[in-house]
Amino acid sequence: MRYQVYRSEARKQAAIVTLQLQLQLERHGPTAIDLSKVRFEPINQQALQASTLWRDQHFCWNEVIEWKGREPLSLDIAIWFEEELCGLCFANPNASKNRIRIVRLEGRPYESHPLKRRIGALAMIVIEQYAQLIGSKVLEIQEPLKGAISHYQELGFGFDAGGRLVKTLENLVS
Amino acid sequence: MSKSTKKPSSRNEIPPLGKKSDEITLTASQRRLLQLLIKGTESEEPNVLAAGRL
Repeated sequence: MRYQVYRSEARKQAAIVTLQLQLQLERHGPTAIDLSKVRFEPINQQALQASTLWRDQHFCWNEVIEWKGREPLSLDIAIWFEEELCGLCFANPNASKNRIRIVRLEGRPYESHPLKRRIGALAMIVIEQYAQLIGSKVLEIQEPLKGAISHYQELGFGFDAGGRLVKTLENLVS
Repeated sequence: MSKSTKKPSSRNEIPPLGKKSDEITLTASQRRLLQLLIKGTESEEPNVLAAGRL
């Protein structure tokens, strides 16, 4: 139950900071994208149904429902732009909670969507909020695809001595 | 003693993003992620970014 609250809080905080970013940008003129339309939700039946409309989706996200039941600390994220599902993510902390593994992350394939080139950053904003709430120090990409590595580097990840693609999280500075 | 009121340093500058967003305090990493949201990442974003299993 406690982690259900943390998950919900992480998604909510991510929505607040995204909205506030939009408001800050609007003070300086028109923006290329309206980030106030971004929503972070759990992967629920609505998200699964919307994902079936994706052409050639890579994963069967239905199995994540079972994973959620097996892993009470896990974090699931459906990234929406208004009523359009643009991305899905499943991440899972290890037993000590020191490390969160990003297990699956997929953006809507083929067709262009409003959050293209932003799915990774949006997912990491939620995951880093969650990491703060549960006290995790490291994010790790589980099985990153070769073509995605430069993208992760742009998001602040790098390879550790063991060859894992990781990002060490900072402490909050007051 | 008069209280000073905060003003943005310049109308043309975006203030430091999310250093303190109401009660939400952000790390430098999170602020960088917000910066990436503004224009999107430079590198092409593959549809599949992580393909692991439990």
